[in-house]
Amino acid sequence: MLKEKRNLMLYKQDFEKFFRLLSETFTIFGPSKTDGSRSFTKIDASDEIAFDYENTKMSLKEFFFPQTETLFFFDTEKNEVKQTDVETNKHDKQNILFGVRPCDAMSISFLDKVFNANNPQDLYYTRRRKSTRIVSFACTNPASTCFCTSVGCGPDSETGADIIFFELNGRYFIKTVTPEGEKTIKSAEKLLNPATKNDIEEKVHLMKTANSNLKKIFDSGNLQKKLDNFNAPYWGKLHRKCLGCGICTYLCPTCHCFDITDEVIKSNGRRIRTWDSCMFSLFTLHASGHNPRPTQKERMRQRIMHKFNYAPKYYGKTFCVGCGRCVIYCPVNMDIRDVMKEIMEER
Amino acid sequence: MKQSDNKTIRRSDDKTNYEPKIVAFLCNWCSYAGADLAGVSRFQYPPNIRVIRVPCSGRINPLYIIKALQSGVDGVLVSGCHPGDCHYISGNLFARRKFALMKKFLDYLGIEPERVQFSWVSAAEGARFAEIIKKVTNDIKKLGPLTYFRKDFEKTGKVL
Amino acid sequence: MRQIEYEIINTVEKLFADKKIDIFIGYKKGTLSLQTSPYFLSEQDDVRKLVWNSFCSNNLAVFIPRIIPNSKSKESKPVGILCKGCDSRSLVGLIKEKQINRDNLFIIGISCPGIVDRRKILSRLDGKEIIGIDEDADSIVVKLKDGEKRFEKEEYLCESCLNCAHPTPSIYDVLIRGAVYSLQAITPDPITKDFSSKPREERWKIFETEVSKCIRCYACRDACPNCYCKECFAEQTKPQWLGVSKGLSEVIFYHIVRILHQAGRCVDCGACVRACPMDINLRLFTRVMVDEVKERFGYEPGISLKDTPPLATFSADDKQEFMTEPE
Repeated sequence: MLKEKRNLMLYKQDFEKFFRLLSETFTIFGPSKTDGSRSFTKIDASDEIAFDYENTKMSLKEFFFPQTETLFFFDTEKNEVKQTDVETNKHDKQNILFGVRPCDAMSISFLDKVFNANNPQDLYYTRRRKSTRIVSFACTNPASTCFCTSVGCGPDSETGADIIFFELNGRYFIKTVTPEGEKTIKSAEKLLNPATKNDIEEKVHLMKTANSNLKKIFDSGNLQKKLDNFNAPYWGKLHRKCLGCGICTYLCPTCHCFDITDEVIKSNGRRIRTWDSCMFSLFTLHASGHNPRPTQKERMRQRIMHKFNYAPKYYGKTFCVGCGRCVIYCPVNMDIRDVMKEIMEER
Repeated sequence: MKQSDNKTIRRSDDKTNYEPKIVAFLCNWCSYAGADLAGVSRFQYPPNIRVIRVPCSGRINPLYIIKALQSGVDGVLVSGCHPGDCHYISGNLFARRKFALMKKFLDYLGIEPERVQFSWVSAAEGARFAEIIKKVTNDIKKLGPLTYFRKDFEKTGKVL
Repeated sequence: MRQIEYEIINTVEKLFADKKIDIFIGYKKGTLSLQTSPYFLSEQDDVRKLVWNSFCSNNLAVFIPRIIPNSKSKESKPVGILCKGCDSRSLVGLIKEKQINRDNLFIIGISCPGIVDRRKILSRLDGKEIIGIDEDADSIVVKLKDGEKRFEKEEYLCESCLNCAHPTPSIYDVLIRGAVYSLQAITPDPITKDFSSKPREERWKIFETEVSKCIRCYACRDACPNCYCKECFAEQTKPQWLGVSKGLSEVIFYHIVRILHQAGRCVDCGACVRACPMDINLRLFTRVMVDEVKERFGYEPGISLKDTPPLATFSADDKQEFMTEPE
């Protein structure tokens, strides 16, 4: 860990220079204006970055854990196996993910627990993760669908980030969080000044306002206890309007379930890893035809339990960062905040 | 991050020295027998078709046709009994409605109409069968290989 | 609007009081502005939470095959449901294809003035936060932190509502009449006509670009009342028709086959378009089948319980101009 986190200041007019200096050593990805901040894309010039976006539609997870990933190729005639080159970077440069929301940064720290822990370690995820720095951007104006403070995250959460930016009046307040973060800005050091007491005060005030806009809806600790009742009666009702599509799980930054299958064309084949969703019936279908989660009731229970009960037990964290994507995009407006409230109110 | 299997596949221009691969779904009672007759009568037709025998043209699910196109063939021909001659009385008439919609839809999306063709060939029409195969093969030869939604994956990587 | 809401609430209250139904499916206020949520209510629930406004966009018929098993025992009561024009058309399709029994439904029909497309409104707000919504007969007033914006409903209706020929339900047990715009339904729909006139390669390019956004969440299928298959081709494993990768080829395959499966069934309710999180313009491709079915077979899905679905019947003199003849 970093001995001392530094607070630095960057004038907005110097941002362009700052960006150029960084892009000499790094390839920069961010929410771009051109694709309407749909996902993190490669940014070539500083003015392409969409700073005012609320959150990208696709979460950050696809950057490290793509929807489809070829693990290796094989040839059944030649009897050989080809390893894939993990897309780290073509120019031997490292990546910067710029303008990540604190919730997404935190979600990566959760995925690290799953894929990047000591045993076993996922080769594909880890390689990408090692070559990437995360520069997050504190939320000064959280959306009405955000509920990060209810799940232990927040508009200025530093977890998962290497550096965090705060947008002050006319300048950026930059806080280095990890040693990698320190190294990242080294080349642009001359543009940065140490933060003064006034700067810090302004930042604190700014985040206070942002925090006050976020209502704490439920307490994740109590929720976990409440969810210990696997056969609670509310499970019979909650799922009724759920259509069983995979929007919530695919857009979720922490959902990480996958499937591994082989695809073969003639004698050439590949083994792929693809996202899967507990909301699909196929997810648990056995070869015998038996399905241990036969209806949406069991599938929805799985989704809620995994995030709010099992994950805290295994990883010590609620696997939800409150980004609100599932709330925004659910076709039947199944609002997880409401579901939580309903569960908490149930006796 | 762009994935290699997500990239746009261009329509190919390579039409010289090209022999198309065509799947022909033939109904057991008429067209398959028609193809047989073409054979025993020594009618010549291009060797580009691969025949799949089905009980009736009504058995054809549009899914089969799309799957064939995706799996690497350049065109599909479906052939059944003439209207009124269906072994199952009306299978081909139900099929005709499905085919009409499918033909319209594929054309609308931008897939060349010659890629997927339907015809009636009776058990006695060996010569007609050969003529139809000539036409279908010619049509598809002119279009070139169907590449724009064929399933394929790039094989990069090191040999282990 | 308010008046109609009261009428719905009173009717439902009476249905519960007379013990005619055990469960009713309607809409309640959503947690997001410009949105409502399907509401399953039984006798002990609060009937006053039922709402009716321009954002009741879900096609509620989608839930019916899921909650009523086909062979329902005689003792259980029918399921009550609130139906717009399109919802009732979907139900007709389900009844005709023997997925549900008409006797198991109690339908409160409502003549629908059209559903407002929330995405169209959101695109005009530049990401500003909505504080409140007011609605009168012709317009939606969106209250923002710095003032308010008025939107004429007629301009912000969903695409499918703009060309809806049957806003009044085709089947119902009780009908609540409300204002219906005098919409002129046009066949073929202008969007498909326009698309057809484009060159072939350009059409394919557009199709490819649209579906390449797909993340394979299957929301379009799951939101569609007429996609009732217990096992979808997309999920069959013996044989496996569809690969699981996000590759363009698979996505194209999925969408072509899904839309073809809906030919003759699709009632153009727009549920798939509204469900899609990636904003794929699915209606551009689904609508052409609706038009073609009407033109070729003179059939409009969901209008009558009597006529046979177009692909479950035939006529000896169906047109066959597309058949290949030897040269």
